[in-house]
Amino acid sequence: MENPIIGFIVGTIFGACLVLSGLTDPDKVINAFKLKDFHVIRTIAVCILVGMLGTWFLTTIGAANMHVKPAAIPIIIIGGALVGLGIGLTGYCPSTGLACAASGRIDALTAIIGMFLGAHAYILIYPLIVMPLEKVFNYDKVTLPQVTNTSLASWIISIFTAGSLVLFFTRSWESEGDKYNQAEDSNIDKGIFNKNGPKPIPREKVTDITLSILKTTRLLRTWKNLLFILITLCLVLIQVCFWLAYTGKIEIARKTNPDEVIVQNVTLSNSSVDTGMENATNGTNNTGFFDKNISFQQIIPMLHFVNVILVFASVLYVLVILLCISASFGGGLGGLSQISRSFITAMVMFVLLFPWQNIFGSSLIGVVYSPNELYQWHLADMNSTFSIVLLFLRFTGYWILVMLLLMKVQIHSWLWSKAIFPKLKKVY
Amino acid sequence: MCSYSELTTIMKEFHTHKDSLPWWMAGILLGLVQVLAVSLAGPLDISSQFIIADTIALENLAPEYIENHPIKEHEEYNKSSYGHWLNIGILVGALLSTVHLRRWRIHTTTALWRQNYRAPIVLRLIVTLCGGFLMLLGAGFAFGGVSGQFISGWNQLSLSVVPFTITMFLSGMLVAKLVYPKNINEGKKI
Repeated sequence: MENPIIGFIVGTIFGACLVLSGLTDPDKVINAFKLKDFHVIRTIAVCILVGMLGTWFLTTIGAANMHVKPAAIPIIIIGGALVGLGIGLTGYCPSTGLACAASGRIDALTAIIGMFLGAHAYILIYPLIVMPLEKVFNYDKVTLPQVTNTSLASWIISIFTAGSLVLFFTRSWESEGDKYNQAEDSNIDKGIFNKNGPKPIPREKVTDITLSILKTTRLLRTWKNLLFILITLCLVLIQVCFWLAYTGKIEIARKTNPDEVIVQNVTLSNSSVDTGMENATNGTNNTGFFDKNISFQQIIPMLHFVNVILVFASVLYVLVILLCISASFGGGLGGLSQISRSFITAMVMFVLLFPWQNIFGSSLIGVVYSPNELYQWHLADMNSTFSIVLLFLRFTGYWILVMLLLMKVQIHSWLWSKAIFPKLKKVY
Repeated sequence: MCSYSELTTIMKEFHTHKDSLPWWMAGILLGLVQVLAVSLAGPLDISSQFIIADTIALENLAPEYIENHPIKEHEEYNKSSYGHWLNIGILVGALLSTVHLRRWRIHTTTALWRQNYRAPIVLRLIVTLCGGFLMLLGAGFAFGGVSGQFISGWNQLSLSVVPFTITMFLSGMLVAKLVYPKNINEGKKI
């Protein structure tokens, strides 16, 4: 589906994310190479881990457009060294170079001109130098699991676990960026930058009560973030269930008893589609994740469980934000506008999330759906465009709206914590 | 002791540092964009588009040269207009978000460069020109740069990403240490 509109949309989102993530700051990139600032390294590590998991998931449902590059070792080594050289000199990579040029950086613009010249030089030397080198030690388009003859799952689980542990245990490493922030805070203390920075609390007024409120707020923030992760995971799971059912990876059919849902065929990997069909015909199921069966019957209790967790986590999430407001208000910590916005958005998110259809019927629906509802939608006639649009609006459009609201809640609460927590750092 | 205006400039840089999302949130967002790209069209590959754009330019400027050029047969460089629009999208997305955050302003150098070199701006521009040249040449050699080879390579667990990652980081670390020996706040009493 390589059409220009999709390219433009993906590019726009990517460009905006680059700016928001802080990767468009060349100083940060160079400091990352000097091992002075870990923001860039951590961001890229999380990006790789999330991308790896997502690509794995897409591969299992057969929706990934993979494009593995050939492993011509000598030329890759030369290329990698040159790319590192370029980034070390400029602080830009091709994508951040483009984003920085759009952000008003003249030096990024000259870097882009240099990139065009580099591309031109590459075309000129391609027949003489690159082509012969491409053939040396070229192992073709292979992946690490293929080379080591191991499963993709074992690689991904190992890398993801190791990466997450490293990120978790090094989370307190102070980066150069944090030092700048502390320097800024010390200036705020001196009253130099009161106009731009958060309002400081005079040191003599930092009482034991304020300190304990700040500590409590930090604890609340941790719980809020944990609940956010839990809600996101649950939302992703219910969306995955919908897509598995929609794409026919789990075929649902009706037996004589209308309430009983059975699985005729379960396939979660492309390579095993045929085997799955045969096994289904023979009355056995042997395919899917890790060569185990995943049936709709197994998904039903999982969906119920996820729904319950999702609703409980959302209630707790709203309550924790409410407690944050109380702490912020009672302790006079500031940041009230941000945390209030966060609370209102969280309330709206919860209202949209709650399965009202279980109480009021189909006139009022929430994002959380029951397995039976999914089953009913699949039995419905899906021949008209209107019904397909309605199906997607119900299960995906509505879900996207709630995800956006969740992100909004988290961004507002993050801005709130950014406004109040420098004070805690200063006290320590 | 540095002057007030100098201090203001430095503090503006500090504000730039502070206005980014926390690393985990930024990483999740970028990771999800990668997944979106893989599901819709394929892994992101920004640097290859420069080579494709140059090939198209040569087709118009020197058609007889490029007609029988072997690069025309290279599958990497025979893509549709998807990639060009991807790059245009990056420009638009970055511009919109910078304007929205009220961070758009003209920069010619960086704080780290100013700290290390009291040289004219022209030198910084020459260095970035050379850096861009080497980077794209390297990305061509390695069949992709940071997004096309490094990030999407790890997402797909390709073999090529291992030597690429090692050499990219080693050379980058070496050059960054040699070219920018001083840190931003080194020698300045803030």
